[in-house]
Amino acid sequence: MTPSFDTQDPIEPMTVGNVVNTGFRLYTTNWKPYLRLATLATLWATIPWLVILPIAIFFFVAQDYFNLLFLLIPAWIALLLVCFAHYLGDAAAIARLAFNELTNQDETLAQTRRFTGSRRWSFLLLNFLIGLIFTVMFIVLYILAAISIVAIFAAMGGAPFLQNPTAASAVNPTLVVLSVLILLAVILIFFVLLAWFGVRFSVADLPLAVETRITATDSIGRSWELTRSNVWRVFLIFTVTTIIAFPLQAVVQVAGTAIQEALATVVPEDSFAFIGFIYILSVLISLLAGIVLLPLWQSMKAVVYYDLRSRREGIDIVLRDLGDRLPPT
Amino acid sequence: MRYNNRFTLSTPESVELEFALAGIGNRVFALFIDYQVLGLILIGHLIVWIFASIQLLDYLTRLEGDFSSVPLWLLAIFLIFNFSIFVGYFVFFEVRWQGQTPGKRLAKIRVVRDDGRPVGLNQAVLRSLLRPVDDVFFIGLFFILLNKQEKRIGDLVAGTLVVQEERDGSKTDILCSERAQQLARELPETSDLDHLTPDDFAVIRAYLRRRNAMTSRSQVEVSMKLAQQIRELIKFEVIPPNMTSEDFLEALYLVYQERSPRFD
Repeated sequence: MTPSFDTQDPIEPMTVGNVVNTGFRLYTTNWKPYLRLATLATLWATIPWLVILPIAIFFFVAQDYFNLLFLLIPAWIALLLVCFAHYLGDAAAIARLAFNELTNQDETLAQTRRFTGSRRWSFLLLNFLIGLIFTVMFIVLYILAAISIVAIFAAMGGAPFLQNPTAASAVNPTLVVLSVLILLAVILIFFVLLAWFGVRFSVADLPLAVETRITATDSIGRSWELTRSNVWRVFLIFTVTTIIAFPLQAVVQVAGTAIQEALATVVPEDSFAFIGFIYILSVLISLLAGIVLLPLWQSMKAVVYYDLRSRREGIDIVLRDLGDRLPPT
Repeated sequence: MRYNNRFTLSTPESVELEFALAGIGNRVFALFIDYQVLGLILIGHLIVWIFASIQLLDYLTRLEGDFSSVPLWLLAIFLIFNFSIFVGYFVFFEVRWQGQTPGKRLAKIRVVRDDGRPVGLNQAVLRSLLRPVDDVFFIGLFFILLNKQEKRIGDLVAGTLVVQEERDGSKTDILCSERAQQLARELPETSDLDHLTPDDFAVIRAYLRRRNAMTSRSQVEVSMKLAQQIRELIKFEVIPPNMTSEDFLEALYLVYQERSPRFD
């Protein structure tokens, strides 16, 4: 036994920057399957909105048959849910592919899609639950913030201030400054809490995309459990990713503006064709930006999930090349 | 799969040095932190300037004479100072801390010259002066993404690289139970430790270092699995009563540490 420090790679959790590097690297080396899945997912998400167009034109032209809407609206909502479930299934497939790569598991694209596709209704339920949690939380936090602002303001003797602002601020100018500061502080706390909850639920779809025998509610619980005591680090990871994603998005935006400017030299700017084209272009650009950014976020979430699991569950702590060395049983 | 770009450097003594490049994540993270710190400093500077200016103008109005050009001068001084702080922040830290700034220190990255030597004043100044250029439309970010050695314009001109710090393997003390220490004395005789590779010990050490951050359930699972596999490898057959898998792993760590003291 000789001491050696060059193990294959250090068995250490990743730093914030290296998590981001890894997510990026996963995307750039696998951009083909990731973008393909992101395109499929995004196409699913656009179907309901494409369907609305002919329906709207029909009613606009016919000006009749409005009773049909009783049938069409529920049907459309059903379509929306189906399409959203498909979107979630394909988006989760990207995350699963990324996680597979991190853990050296072989799985074909078709197998991955089949796996996450079979759970698309659970993903839908999961997203519904998360949406519900956030709505309730937002309302509760909002009410708490409002109450605390009013209470603090009243406690500082703000009531006369409200009745006659000029007179009161002349008497007590510090009150004005203080109440502005307190208002800012409450708003800050509000957003910090919102971000804190956001982080706690940030990898909720990953367990469902990766683990066996798991339900939507389990998956949310797993995210809550894994992110415990790592909130700050995960928050920083997503902040850095947002900063990097911003210029990438800007490139797509700038390209769109360039096309628009180029077109403006050919077609008169107030013509119907121009306005229509601009509208279609803006839709296409936002779809394109969505397609490009989806794999970035999915692979980043996969790395965060992997890193959290190695920190909290030690999934990377395994003996290497064990099969060759164990005595035959 | 390696997730960081690497860069190999041959010194004149034909020694090969390999660096892991910092990567976009670490660099944006470091800059994000540095800009927060810098922002605070600049706000502090603004406050000082406002108070100083008010005091000065107050004083001057009590004197006789024409001081109408003073506000313009004060503004000019403010702008020069602001710029000096912006440039000086990075130069000061990169020179003083051998290529690190507070943000880089947090991100565990460092600026070095292309030949691996620490940066000097020239390089730090060039990098810092070109930073505004790199920031316009995020040009620097695209340069880092597209350039093989991850150089932004400032790095290209100054001839510098941004690399990851050598891992110091954050030395957390590993507490070993008494039973483990006793077992460590017996193990060499009762089992065949030569079947273990340094890699295996690195895995054991990683577990012992990191177990406290793990959930209690995972601690049990991972330590049981490791202990079981290693027991088979070293043909450790008779298990002492009351020995836990944690004790066993701690004992193995102690044995190895004794044999090769550099393995901390």
